[in-house]
Amino acid sequence: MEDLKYKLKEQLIEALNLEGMKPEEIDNTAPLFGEGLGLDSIDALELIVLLEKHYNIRIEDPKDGRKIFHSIDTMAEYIQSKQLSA
Amino acid sequence: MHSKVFLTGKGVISSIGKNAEENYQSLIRKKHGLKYTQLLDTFHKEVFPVCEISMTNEELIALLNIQNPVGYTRTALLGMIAVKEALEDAGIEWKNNTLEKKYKTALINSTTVGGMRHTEEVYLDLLKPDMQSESESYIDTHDLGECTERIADYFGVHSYVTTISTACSSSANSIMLGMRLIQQGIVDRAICGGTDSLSKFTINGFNTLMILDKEHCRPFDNTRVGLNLGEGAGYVILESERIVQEEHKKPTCYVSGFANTNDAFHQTASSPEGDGAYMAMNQALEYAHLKPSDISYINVHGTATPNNDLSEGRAIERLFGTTNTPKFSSTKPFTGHTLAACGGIEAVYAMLAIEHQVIFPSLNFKDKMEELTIEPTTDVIENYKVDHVLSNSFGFGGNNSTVIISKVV
Amino acid sequence: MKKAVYINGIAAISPQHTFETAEFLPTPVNYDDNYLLVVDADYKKYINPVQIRRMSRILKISYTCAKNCMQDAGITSLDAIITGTGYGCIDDTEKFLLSMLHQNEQMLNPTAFMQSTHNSVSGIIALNMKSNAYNYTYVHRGLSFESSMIDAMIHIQEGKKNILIGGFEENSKNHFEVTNKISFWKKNHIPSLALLEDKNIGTIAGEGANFFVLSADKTANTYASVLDVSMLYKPKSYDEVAAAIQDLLDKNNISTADIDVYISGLNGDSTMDSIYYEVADKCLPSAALLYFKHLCGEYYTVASFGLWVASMILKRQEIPAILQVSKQEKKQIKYILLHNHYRNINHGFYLLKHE
Repeated sequence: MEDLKYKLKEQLIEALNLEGMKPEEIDNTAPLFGEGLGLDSIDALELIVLLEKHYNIRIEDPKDGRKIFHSIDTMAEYIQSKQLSA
Repeated sequence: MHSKVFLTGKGVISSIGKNAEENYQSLIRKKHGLKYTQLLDTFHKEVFPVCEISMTNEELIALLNIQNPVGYTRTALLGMIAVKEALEDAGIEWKNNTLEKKYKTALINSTTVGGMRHTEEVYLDLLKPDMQSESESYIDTHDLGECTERIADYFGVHSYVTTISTACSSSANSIMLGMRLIQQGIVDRAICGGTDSLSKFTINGFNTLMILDKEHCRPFDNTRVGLNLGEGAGYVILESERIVQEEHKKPTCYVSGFANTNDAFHQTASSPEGDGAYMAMNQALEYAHLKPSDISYINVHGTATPNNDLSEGRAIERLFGTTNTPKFSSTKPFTGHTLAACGGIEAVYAMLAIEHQVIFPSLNFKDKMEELTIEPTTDVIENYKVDHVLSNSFGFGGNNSTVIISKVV
Repeated sequence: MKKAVYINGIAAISPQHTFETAEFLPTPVNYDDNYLLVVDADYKKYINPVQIRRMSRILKISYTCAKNCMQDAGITSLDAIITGTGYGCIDDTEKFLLSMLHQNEQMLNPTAFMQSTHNSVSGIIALNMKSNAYNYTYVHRGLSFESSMIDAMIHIQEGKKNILIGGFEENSKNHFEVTNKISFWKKNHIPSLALLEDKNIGTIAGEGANFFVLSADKTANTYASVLDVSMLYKPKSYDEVAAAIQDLLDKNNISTADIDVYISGLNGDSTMDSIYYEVADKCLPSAALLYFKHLCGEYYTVASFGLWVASMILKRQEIPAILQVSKQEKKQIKYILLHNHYRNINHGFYLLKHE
C-alpha cells in the first residue's frame, strides 16, 4: 500500500506538472483539492485519465471523482478496492 | 441613439435542414437531427450520437457547382451553402463579381475547427518524408482563416475579410462586429455568422472534458449530463439604413442590442452564479433601451452541460425574475452544439420566430432543475407576439455574448 | 478615424532582446537556422506557480507580455482585450491531435484540448486580470492582428478608454516541417541577419508575442498615435496596393511626401518582396526603407512586431542601423507607414504619427 501511494504521488506530480515538487512533500491525508495542493476541476479530469492509463480503472461520472480524489489515501484505497474486485 | 442596422437575409444549414425553410419545418414539427455518425470515422461513432448533416462533401460541392473542388474543406463548404442562401434571401447579386459593385461589404466569418476535419485525416501522412501528393492540398487549409477566404472568393467579397474565434460565442461575436463596422461607416453591409464541421478532434476534446451525453441532450433538465455535438453553418446579412432606403427593402428584423463580456472565472467553465451571462444580457438590454419585460423569447445557449444551464439559468432568474420570465428554449437538441456556428444558426432561428410569430420548443425537458424555479417552453407556441428575441451564446475562455433581434415596426 | 488613438504601453517577447529592457535592439541576435524561437523571459515573475504548471509555452509568453505591457502603460483595468493569432496555440493543438491519432482516440488529456482553443490567451488574460470586459480573438491569417487593431480603434471611437491588444504566434517543429513541404521556408540555411542577401524562395520561420495598450488619452508614456489601419485582400496588381496606400493617406490628409519612414515586411523571399521595393521606389521615394523580419522571422501576426519597432522609433526618434535597408541620415521622424503582407494575399497598412 505504501509503495502504491508513493508511486501514485510520482504519477500525480508528472501528470499535473507539479514542477519542483517531491513525492515526500505530499501528505497522504491532506486534501488534494482546494486548501491542500490547490488542484481544480481540470486536474480532476487529468486524474481520471491517470487512473485509466496506469490502473485501467474507468470513472464514467466526473462527479464520482470528488470523493475518490480527496487525498492520496482515498485514491490508493479506491485503486486497491478496484484491483481486488477485478 | 445608434444608427439602425437591419437584418435583410438569412441562411442556414444544419442536421435538420439545408436551408431556413427546412430548418423551420423541423423546428415546428419537433424533428431533431441526432443520430450516430454516418460520415465521420471515429472510435466513438457508436458511443456518442451527433447531429450530422447527411450530405457528403461531394454532394455539397455539387450543390455549389464548384468546378475544381481541390482543397475545399467541409467547414468551408457548409459556410458557402449558408452564405449563398443568405445573399439570395437578401436579394444580393454576387455572380460575375457584382457583390461589391455598389456597397462595401464585409465577410466576418467564424469557426473553431477550420480545416481540422481534413488535417486529422492527413496529419500522420504529412509528417512522413514521402507523403502522398493528395495530402498536400490540405496543408494550408488547416488554419481558421482559410475557409473564410474560400467563401470570400466564391462570392467576391474583398473590402473587409476577417475571422473570429472565441469558441462557442464566435458567430454571435461576428454579428456584433458587423454592427459596429456598419455604424462606423467602414462598410455598408456585412455577412456575419459561422461554420463548423464535425471532427474527431472536437468529439475527443469534449469527451476529455466529460461533457458529452451518450443519450439525447436535455437542456435545463435536472437529469442533464452533457451536450451533443453538431455541425452546420448560419449567417445573416446586416445592411445599413441607407441601403434599405436606396434599395427599397422591407426587412422584418433588425439587431437592437448586443454585448460581449467575460466571466473571468475559469478557463472552460462558467461561474455558478452566471456573472458573465448576466452582464452580457443586461448590457445588451441597456444598449437596446429595452426592459427585461420587453423580451418575448430567449433562445438560450442551453447546451445541457450541468455547468452551462445552471449558470445561464441563474443569470436569467437574476435579470428576468422567476415569475413572468419570458418564454425560453434551447434549440440545441435539434441541431446539436454547432460550436462557432450556433450563434449564427440561432440568429436565423430568432428571425424565423419573429417572421412566423412562433416560439420553438425545448426538447427532452421533463424534470425542473432543483436549483431553479424557471422551466423552458416544451411545445411549439404559434400566434405568439414575438417582438424581441434575446439570443445567448457562451464559450470557453469565459466568453459570453448576447444579441437581441427585434421586429421592425 | 475621428478620435485620436494613442499607443500608451508596449511589450515584445521576440527572438531578440526586446523584453524588460530600456534599450532599442542594442545587440541584434543572429540565428543560423531557419527556425527562430523567442528569448525566454522570467515567466515565474509574472505568473503564480499554481497556474504556470499547466500553461503551454505560448500561453506563458503571451500572458507575461500582456502583463508587462499593462505595467508599461501604468494601467490596471481594461475596457477590452483583443488578440490576433493565425494558428493559435499550435503546439497544444498538435499535442492533442497526435495523441488522438496514436492512441486511437483513447485516454487523452483534457488540458491540451482546452488550451488548444484560439481564444485561450485572451481568456487567460481576462481570468488573471479579473476583467469582465469585451474579449475577442481574431484568427484571420495575415490579417489577424490588423483586425484586432481596427476593432480596438473602433472601441476608442465608441468612447472606451484603454484597450489591450496583442498579436502572438508560436513556432513548432512539426508545423515547420509540414509547411516546409509547401515551400514556406528556405531550404538552405542562412544567417538570419543576412536575410535579404539570399535570393532563394521561402523565408525564415519565427514567433513572438507583441502587446500594446491603445488609449483615448495621451500620457507621459505615449509612444505614438495610430491615425489609421487598413487591410487589403488579394490585390491583383501593384496598382491596387498603391491605391490602398493612397486611399489611406488621403483619408487622413497626408501626402506621400509626408511619410518619413516606410517599415516594410521584407522577408527575403524573392517571390514576395518585390511589392515592397516597388512601393518604396514608386510610391514613397522620400521615405527611409526599413525591415524587421530578419530579427523575428515570419509569422501570421508578425506585423505586431513591426508595430513595436515603429512605436520605439517614433518615441525615441532614432532608427537602429540594423533596421535600415540602406543607410539613413538622421532627421526628425513624424509619420511612419508600416506595411506587411502575408504571401501577397493579406496586406495590412498602419499609419502612425509622432506625439
